Amino acid sequence: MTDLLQLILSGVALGMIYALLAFGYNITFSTSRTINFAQGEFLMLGALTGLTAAVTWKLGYAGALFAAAIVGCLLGVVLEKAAIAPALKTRSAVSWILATVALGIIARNAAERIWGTDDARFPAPLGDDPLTFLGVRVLPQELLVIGAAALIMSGVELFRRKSIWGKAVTAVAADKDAAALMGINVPLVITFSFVLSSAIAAVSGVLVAPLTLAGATMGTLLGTKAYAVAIVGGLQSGLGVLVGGLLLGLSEQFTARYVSTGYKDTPGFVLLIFILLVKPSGLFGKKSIKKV
Amino acid sequence: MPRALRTLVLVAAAAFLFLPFVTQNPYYVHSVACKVCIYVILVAGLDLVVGYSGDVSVGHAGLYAAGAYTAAILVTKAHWPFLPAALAAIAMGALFGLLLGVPALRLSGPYLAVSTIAFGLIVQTVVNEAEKLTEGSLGIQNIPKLTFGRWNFEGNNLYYLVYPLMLLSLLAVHRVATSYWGRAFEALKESSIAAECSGISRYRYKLSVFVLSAALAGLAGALFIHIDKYVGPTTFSLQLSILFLIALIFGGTRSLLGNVLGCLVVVVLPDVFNRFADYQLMTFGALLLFTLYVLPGGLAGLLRRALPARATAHTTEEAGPDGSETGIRVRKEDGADADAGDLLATERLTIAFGGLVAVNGLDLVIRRGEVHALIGPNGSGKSTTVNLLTGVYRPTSGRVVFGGRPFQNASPFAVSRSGIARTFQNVALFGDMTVLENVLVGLHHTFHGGLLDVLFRTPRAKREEKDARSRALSLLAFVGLDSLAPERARNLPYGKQRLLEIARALAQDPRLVVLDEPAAGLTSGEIAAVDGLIVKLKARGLAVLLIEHHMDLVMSVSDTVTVLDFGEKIATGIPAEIQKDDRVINAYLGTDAHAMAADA
Repeated sequence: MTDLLQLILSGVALGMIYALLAFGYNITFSTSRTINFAQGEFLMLGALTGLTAAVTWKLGYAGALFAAAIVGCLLGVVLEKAAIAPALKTRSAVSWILATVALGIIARNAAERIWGTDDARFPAPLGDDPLTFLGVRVLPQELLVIGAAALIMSGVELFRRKSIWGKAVTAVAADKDAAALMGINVPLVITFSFVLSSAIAAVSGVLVAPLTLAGATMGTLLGTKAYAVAIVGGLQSGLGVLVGGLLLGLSEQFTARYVSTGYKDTPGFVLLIFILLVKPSGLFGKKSIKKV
Repeated sequence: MPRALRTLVLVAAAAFLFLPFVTQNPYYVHSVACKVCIYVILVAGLDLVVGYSGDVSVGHAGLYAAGAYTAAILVTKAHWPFLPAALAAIAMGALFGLLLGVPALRLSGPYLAVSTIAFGLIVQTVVNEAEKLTEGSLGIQNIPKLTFGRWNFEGNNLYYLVYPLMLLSLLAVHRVATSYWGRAFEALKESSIAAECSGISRYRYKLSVFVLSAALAGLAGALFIHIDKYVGPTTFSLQLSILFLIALIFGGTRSLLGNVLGCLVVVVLPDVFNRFADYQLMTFGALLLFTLYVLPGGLAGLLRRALPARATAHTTEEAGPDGSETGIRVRKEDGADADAGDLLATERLTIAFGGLVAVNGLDLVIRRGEVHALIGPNGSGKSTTVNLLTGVYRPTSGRVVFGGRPFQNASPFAVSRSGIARTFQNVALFGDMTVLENVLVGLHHTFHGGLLDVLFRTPRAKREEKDARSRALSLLAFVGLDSLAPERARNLPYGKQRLLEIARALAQDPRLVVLDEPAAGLTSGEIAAVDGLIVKLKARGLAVLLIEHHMDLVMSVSDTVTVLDFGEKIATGIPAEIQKDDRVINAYLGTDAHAMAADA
């Protein structure tokens, strides 16, 4: 029983990271119908920046989060200007997909040059000693990840629903042309959505790094699984990515425990392909009607 | 292709066969040149998916792995000779391509890209984990020597195997791409719905493009294992899939020369610059970004602009129009239902989108050879009805009976094949294809030769292509666009685009043509031309369903008019009756306006 609870808890912590990244896809997809195929690499850059801030500059964990957020914002602007905006003009899906993929491999190579190719340990702010609840041993960082991720997601949702800026984002998501006619600066809103999405990815890096390791290769797989989560949950649904993230986190932990650790990366992709075949709009997505 | 250029290409291709006589350095011949050839085979296949079909695959390394491992396992563990092992690798690649292609039936853009990434990662994981078969992370070593009887393809001699295979692969891709298959891929890329409504099976051609592409990737994999005599899982990473895409995009899509140049760059560049290894990904990433936004069309596009002379030379030497004057053929009705009953009847046809009932219990009857107009105010369900009749939407209840046979979950493709062709309210042409090619897509159903006919360019394939071209020109002459045949469809003025859509619809040999607002946005002169065209169609025995707002046009050409309002039929009859019908006047002008008109 405690074994099971243990699995569930680690699964939830992992799932929250997937959900956070997927939430970032959700934000940009709603405003521009595009997603960043370099999101995983941005997570990695956030983690490594955070590592430098925390260890080299001795700014502590809060400083690491802050530094990652700043770098995330900058990356978001660069990505939107260099890869997304030109493709939105030509309306070519092939271009933006490949352009963000290109930025991803550039980011990864840059990280290897700056921080080297070895993985480094990221000190956990609350220590590495597990706490014990009802016989279940929990790493404090896992609780931190769950809490912080919940905070970020609910904060963004609140912002989208309550603030006037958030409403501009929602308006652009609903109808770009109508939003532009109402005096909303649509390109600015799109840039902003990429800034927000990239900052969330970078901060997720600092959150997850103490549980894994920080290194140039840490992002690719996480980012790819988060696509799966976003699509499984429904790219347009905030609740969907949360459920999708948890589903994936749990199924990976269970696969690793009961099938084989070698196959722990596969359930997400199997789930993805299955959902795409059965319900392509995702678990929580609405079916759209094609106008002819 | 002009004869001089063709000769030049053939001479250059032949000359490269003698590369091993120029340099015997095994590094250049065995490692570099052979690798380039193998990459070209794969990238030419990838071009079918990305360039022609417009889908991004970031999973081709998985297909490459399927081929490589199949061949490696068969030659080492089952001791098969090279040839059957390579054939098995091609088959295995094709099978994996089928798996990869299934998602492409329903997905596009980022959804498909993500599922191809997932596919590649699953293959890599399986290769790593299925140790009994693949030796896991150790990889398969001791790949036996590659010999055919007295022929030995070891070392530099491998080049004499892979180079001719590369040329053959390029030739195969070229032939498929320039045939009606290639047109089907492009039509589906540009407008999936318009392509299906023109009689192209999305199901068949989307799967085919992935299977063909994957078969080439399988071949490339089978050859690859003979370079290092080793195959291991680390080769087939996500990055390799991205590298293939970089080679394709940088070289230039839809160009054989581009495929070769792109592969040369990605293989040779890291070799030339030794210190470049540390910055390899960054450079390739920058190269890809640069190509996408500064050099669309890649290196091949650059060369094409430098050599503008050859342009569209081949389209001017077409065969002239065929003897049948208009190119229109009305499909013969088959079986017992010929001439019996109505051409088309809907029975209580209903569709609801959520709570909105867009078409409600519609009974519509179209007789053989009549011009039937469907009118009604905006939002009354006219276009929705067209979409229901042509299989674009599935009815919530009720059914459509055409030529005595009910449609059961008919796809737009099946509807087109059974004899209903349509145009679109918002013009849906294949903009990057020429005017002639647009009509050729409509003539897709006249091609009966299979893939082998296309690959070997048999007399049958040639004859079918020639016949289709001459009929397409006749159809263009019929609508008055024959002089614009080599022009790109997107460059036509709006009115001519509408006429081109009609020509494409007529190419399908329909028994019923559905024209969805053919006169919208046209000048009065152009409307008169459409009027004349409809009269000519009727004279040839075609039935026409006309959706239109221009009442002059409707009243002058129609035999029967049906009026819709809020998704329901409010009147049907001959034009003169409809003009006097109170409910119709109310629907268009409102009750008060009618009262005022009566008072006056």
